[in-house]
Amino acid sequence: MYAERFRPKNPSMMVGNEESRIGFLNWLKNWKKGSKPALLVGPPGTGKTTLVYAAAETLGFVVLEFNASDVRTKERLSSALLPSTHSVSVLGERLLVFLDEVDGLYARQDYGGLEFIQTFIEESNLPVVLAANVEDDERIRKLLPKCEIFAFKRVPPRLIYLYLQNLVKKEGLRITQETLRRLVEKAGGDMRAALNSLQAVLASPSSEVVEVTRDKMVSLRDALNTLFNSNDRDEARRALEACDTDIVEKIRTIFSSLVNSKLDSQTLLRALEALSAADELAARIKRTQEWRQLRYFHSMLAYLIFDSTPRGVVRFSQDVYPWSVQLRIWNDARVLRSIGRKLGNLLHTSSTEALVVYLPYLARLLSLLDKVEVQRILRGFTYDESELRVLNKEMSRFSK
Amino acid sequence: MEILLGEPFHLPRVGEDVFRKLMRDVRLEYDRQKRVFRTTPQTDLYQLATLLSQTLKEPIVYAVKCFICGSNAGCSACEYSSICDRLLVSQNCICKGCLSKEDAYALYCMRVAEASI
Repeated sequence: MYAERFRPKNPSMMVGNEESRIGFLNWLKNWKKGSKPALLVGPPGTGKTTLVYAAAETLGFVVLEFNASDVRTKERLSSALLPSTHSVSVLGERLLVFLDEVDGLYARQDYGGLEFIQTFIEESNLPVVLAANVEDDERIRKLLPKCEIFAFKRVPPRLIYLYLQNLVKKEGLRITQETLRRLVEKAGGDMRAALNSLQAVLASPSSEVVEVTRDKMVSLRDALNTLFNSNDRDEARRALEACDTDIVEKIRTIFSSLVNSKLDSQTLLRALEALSAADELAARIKRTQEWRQLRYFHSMLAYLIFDSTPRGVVRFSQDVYPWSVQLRIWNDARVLRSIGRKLGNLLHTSSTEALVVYLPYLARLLSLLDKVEVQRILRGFTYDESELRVLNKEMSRFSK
Repeated sequence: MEILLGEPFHLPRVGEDVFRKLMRDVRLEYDRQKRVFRTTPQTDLYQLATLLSQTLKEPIVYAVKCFICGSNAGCSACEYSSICDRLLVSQNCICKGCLSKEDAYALYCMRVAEASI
């Protein structure tokens, strides 16, 4: 395969994502025990794996690669990785642990795998590099604060052309400039696809350019941004189809994007009705496991949302509730914890037990008494104003 | 307003809320001493365009710079402009002048090597 044969051996020989390449090289150069692991995030064919191998070769590291989507249970991961945590070198060469496609691991619901990786990256004596195609996955987001992030984007077409043109010249390949240009256009910023297409074109007698792509994936953020901003319905559908995030997560994120955007009430109502129709289909697919209907789900979701929302107004958001509501929930939770602590002290129990077991009874009893009596009792608990407000709210649930 | 990706740019006062969003959600870089902003590979360009066009009441256009000579790569006249989404591609490209040079690829590699020292 050309993609393997012409894989650059040095990071400076790659094209695109210059800042991330340089950043990663410096991270590896300056790595010392206790440094954060590196997480390379970006679509396929943008050079993540190539960079890891090229940087390792340049700086004298031996790569221990594990494809997380192959070795994905906690047991298999630990048996593969743990021996390496206590090793430092092989025949004097330094080791680097590379966990490719970590998002593949999580997409398959392999419980325990994520927790194991989180522990592993904290305890490893070796530089650890993780690679993923999408950043928006909820489970990948758990790793983000623990890692040094290097974002990869698609390679600009002119740089793909530059690379292929040099290759054609160096290897003496016979291809016309026009074919080369069409090949770059079809690659869609995927260098691996461009190299595979080049190979296919050279092998084909007709020199016809065909699209040779691996699993071209789009992150949830990119897919939804296309859905909300594109002026082409089919482009919006294709973007949704190319995103392999769970369908329920897609619905949830579209919902939070809609409610967090500045839409007038009529538009919001129309959009939410459209979303609920797609949600019904999603629920049916999940219930019946008829995944063949997925293509209808994506068409339905894309077209309904496209038709019901103005272009360029809805903003991608994964906050389930608007910020003001979130703040209120957070504040109430803080006050509830404090209520639990005080009640727990009084009843000689933990604050959690006080909140879960005793508070509902207390609220129920207090809701039966008159207000003056309630205030007198609550003062005896030394609750402050905000705590009394939350308790009154709890009591009002019962009085209704 | 045109923003050259990866290059410093000035903004008028946008208010505390917008500034906080630019830093926290959009992940824009801000140099407090020079008072300039800069996009990084982590910057959410969709959100940046939406937020700034709403705040400044003018459309936001992105341009990429030539990694060899540092000038604007000239996206509007690029032969691939119809298929290149500047929100999705990395921050540097190559201008037509540098691309037409005989040793363009070697020059590009040399610039990357220099920048990583």
